[in-house]
Amino acid sequence: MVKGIKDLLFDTVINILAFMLLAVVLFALIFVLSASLSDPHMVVTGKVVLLPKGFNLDAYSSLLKQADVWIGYKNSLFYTLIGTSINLFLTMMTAYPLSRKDFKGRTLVTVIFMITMYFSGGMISSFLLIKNIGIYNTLWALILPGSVSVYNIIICRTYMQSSIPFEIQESGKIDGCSNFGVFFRIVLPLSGPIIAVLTMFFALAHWNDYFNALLYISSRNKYPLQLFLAEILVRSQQTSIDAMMSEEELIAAQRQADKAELLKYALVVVASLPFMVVYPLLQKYFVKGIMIGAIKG
Amino acid sequence: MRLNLHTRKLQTQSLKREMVKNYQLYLMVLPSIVMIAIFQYVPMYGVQIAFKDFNARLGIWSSPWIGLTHIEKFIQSPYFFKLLWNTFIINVYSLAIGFPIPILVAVILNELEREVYKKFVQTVICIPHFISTVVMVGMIFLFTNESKGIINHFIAFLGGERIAFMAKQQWFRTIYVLSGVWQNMGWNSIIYIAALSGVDVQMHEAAIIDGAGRLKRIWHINLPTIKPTFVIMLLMSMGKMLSVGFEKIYLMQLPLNLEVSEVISTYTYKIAFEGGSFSYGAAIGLFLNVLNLILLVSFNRIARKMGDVSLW
Amino acid sequence: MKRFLCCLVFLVSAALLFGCTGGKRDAAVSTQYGFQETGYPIVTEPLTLTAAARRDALHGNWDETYWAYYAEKKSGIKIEFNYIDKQSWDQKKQLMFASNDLPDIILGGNGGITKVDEIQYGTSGLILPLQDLIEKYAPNIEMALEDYPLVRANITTPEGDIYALPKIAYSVDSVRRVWINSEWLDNLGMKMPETVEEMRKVLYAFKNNDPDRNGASDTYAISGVFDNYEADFRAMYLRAFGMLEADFIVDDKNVIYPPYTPEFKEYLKEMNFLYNEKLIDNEYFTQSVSEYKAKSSGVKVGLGCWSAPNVNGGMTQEAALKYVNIIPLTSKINSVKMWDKAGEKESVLGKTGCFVITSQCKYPEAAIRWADMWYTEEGGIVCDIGPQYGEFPASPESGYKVDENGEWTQYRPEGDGRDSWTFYNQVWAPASGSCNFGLQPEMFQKKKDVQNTPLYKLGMSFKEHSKDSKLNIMPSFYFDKDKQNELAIKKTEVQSYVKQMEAKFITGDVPLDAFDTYLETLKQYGVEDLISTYQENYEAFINNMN
Repeated sequence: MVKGIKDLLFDTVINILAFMLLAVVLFALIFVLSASLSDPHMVVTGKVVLLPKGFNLDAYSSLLKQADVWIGYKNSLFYTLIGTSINLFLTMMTAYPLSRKDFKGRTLVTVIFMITMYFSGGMISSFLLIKNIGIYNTLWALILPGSVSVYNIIICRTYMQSSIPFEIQESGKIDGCSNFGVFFRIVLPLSGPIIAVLTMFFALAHWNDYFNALLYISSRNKYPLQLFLAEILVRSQQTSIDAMMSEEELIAAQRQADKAELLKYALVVVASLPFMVVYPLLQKYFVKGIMIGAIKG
Repeated sequence: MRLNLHTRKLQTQSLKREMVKNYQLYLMVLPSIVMIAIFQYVPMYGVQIAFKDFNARLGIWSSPWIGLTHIEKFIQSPYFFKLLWNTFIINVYSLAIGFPIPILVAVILNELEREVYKKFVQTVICIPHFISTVVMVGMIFLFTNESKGIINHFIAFLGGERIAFMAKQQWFRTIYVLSGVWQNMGWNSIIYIAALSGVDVQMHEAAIIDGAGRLKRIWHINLPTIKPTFVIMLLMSMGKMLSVGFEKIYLMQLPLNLEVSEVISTYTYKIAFEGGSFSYGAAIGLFLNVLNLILLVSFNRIARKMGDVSLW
Repeated sequence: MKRFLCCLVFLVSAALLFGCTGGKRDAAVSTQYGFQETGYPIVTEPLTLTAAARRDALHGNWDETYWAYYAEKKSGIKIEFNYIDKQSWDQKKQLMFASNDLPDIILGGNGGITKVDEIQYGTSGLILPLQDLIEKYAPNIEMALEDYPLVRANITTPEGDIYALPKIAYSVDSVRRVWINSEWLDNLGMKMPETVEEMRKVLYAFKNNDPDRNGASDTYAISGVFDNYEADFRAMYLRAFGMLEADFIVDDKNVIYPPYTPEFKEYLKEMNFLYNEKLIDNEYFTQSVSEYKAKSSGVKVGLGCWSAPNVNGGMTQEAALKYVNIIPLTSKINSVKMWDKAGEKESVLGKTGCFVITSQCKYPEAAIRWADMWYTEEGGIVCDIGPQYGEFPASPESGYKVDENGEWTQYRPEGDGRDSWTFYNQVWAPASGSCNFGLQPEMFQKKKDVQNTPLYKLGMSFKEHSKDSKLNIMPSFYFDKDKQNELAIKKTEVQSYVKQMEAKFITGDVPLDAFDTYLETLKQYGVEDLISTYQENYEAFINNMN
């Protein structure tokens, strides 16, 4: 393909725009990294602009020294792996029929799902259910209630409808495939991009889950990382500095606040590391022209 | 009359036949339906709490019914309209700016030729999504600081006058929305990038042969490809117009900006903190959800009329 | 559609199976389990009580502490602790009650069971009223309540029920601490200001006359964080104008809401003046506590509020010594000096909600006697001072020793890496958050050298200065649920508006002539109803003191 002047101009503009996007984000991210490596005092007084001041690794060493953090890390990995797999499985399987225009009862099923996005029984009745079923304080309490994500089913359904032409599926059926066959042999292989996207969405949701764990997990050795982190970080909305705290309690509270100040940037770095590793690997699924082979074949 | 009955019978028969033919499809949705039935529908009796004066000893079923009292109380409060307005306006603003931008980002990135550069940019702009709310708000305060913040340094460099952003309530919404866009535009663009990978390359080849330039091709091929995704995402956002997340706003609130920053979620939090009843919060939540649902249904109807993409 | 509705009905009826909670559980009242009405041990046959325990991050396992060891040895009752971390306490507590899945007793620490909880769960029978049990079996609790009538009033509902026991303690130091740099005063040749007018001159010099003599004009007269308990100096000005706080307060008869009084305008005028002259740091309304701390650590702030300059002021010990406490100011409209009354035994309200007995408990008499143990001098020492040196087998090299003057000092084993407060909580007693409740022992005041600490001196001086004032913070009252909710709504709206407007008046965003409009708006928000409701309850409270 010969490139004309117009194309070159366009390319330049695109590259500049992309660079601007990059710059706006990168600046702040470098700040976060520097802040995690600086003396908190310097950060708070605005002396850290781009490069670290008062370089020290205290935040990281403090974080890594705590046994709790490692336990939480291990638990979170476990919950995330299992939860994401179950989510993916259910989502893909449910979205496919919904994407078929010839699926009778499609609207009904969609409505049944969507109602749950707006009406829920609330904390108490859900808790009672979990207890009565007997999954309290187990991995299942964290995975089963959220195993069906209506939001993601809809996104997946939309993808299947618009990116996987019905003709391909029909040709499969003509060739003798059952519905299951079409799903496993035709639709799934063409769903690379959406599977990649959903994997990330679900993994992140499980990794960040705090509230479910707060309610349903009572043994500390089963706590996910988020619960331990919340404990370490002083949550600013709970500044209940009791009017009658003794001096010792005040000093202890102050120490907590100092620690939180020290750790908060480091935690961002640690939290985004897994993603920074995983996303580039998944990006190869976002390649254009995945259709060509299919149509020609 | 007889004709109708007959047609009806035929329809039911063919319906049954269709269903049997596609029985596998029904099997496929079954697991999800069972899960939803157990974990969402069974506890739904708890919705009643909003209409009851919840008494722990009596339990949810036997607590006395007070109907719409909670909701009436909420509507009659002098604060009600302001809260609703603040919540709504922030969402409209967020949507107007925050919705198109991820799409733009996806389109731009899709046009990058160098793979390594593309991957790099894509990864980097997604990272802000991982910044916790506490850190994000901390950064907002730091960067907008009148004397020490980088934004004001930049303004002064250009010869302008420094602005104490967080102290002026007229800036609150802008800062809230722009910081949200900055934080989420990367992550939100992922779904569009995935959709763009389904673009028909053959159409592009044909268009090039016809002499269409890059912009024209984007407009006529790429954008329509992601239109269904875009419409669905828009509809889903519409269904949340009256809800604003609690944590970020709460952390950004200052006495000087409360007039615009007090939203329904922060208000209910403060009441609960003061010892308000549990049912009250539940009632307000339900009330808002109903309103959101109404909005969703209306917009879905519009979407259906305007094209063939809709939620159901 | 029909089929769908049928499904829904089916599902909902299935829900009935899961939704029904258990029926009432009546505590079987029987005193035939080896219970002894007086003397120790409390039971002659082994008895175990289950307890929900609100555990702070600082605490270890409560059953490994000296406190638990002493309790079991003395009473013969074993406590099985079910720990609930503090961060999930509110939700888990609610769920515990809602699902009727209750332990025998609840050890919630300060505020673990709120007054709203007491009314809600007390009236529905899920927690037991204690006053009869106290009368029959708990003489020490009875005595403590007689010594502290305010505490008694604070824990008794309008119907006369007591549902939760308090921690009763006081320390002589004051609570709200505002400090001024005395070295700067010396450098400027000025004396400690006692009126608002004198303070103006001092502040002006602090800002403009290079008080730290470093040749640069980089000092702040006053800095702080608006409305933050440990970083806001403005109480000093409120009190100068005769108002204890910008919140509901009481004198010996009435409930007062200072933001609804004309004196408030005078206070605002002064603050506005200072803010315009930049004598109050203009970042007062926007900065975070960390930023404030960073500013003060450089010893550049002339006057500010810190719990101690070297604690949350970030200063070194040496620099902190340059600061002394202020003298409460007076003004043209108020000549009575006032400060917190928290450092006085007579105004102790107690930290409530530490101990309740639930309907699940079959041995309430034993439970109340167990609680009673902590209101003795011996029990108080276990909670607030710890074991005698060598007394605790699990940690023989720790404990307190008393010297010839009758003063005590605590010792910890060599080489133990924990700081004193953490050690205390993990080895001796779960004190943080007042989880080990009871009555502070008299011996507590005899800590070695306590009278020489700056904070003690500070407390005594404030006590001196404020003995003429009758104002105090308003105690919290018991309301039934509906009333409580209504009040919570009104109070949130009123206080939110007051805070907004106070900030805007001070910065000048809203001119002071609009003060009357502000009062009118407050009235619309129902402030007068609030005041009169509190007034009614305050009068009942005063009656309950007897």
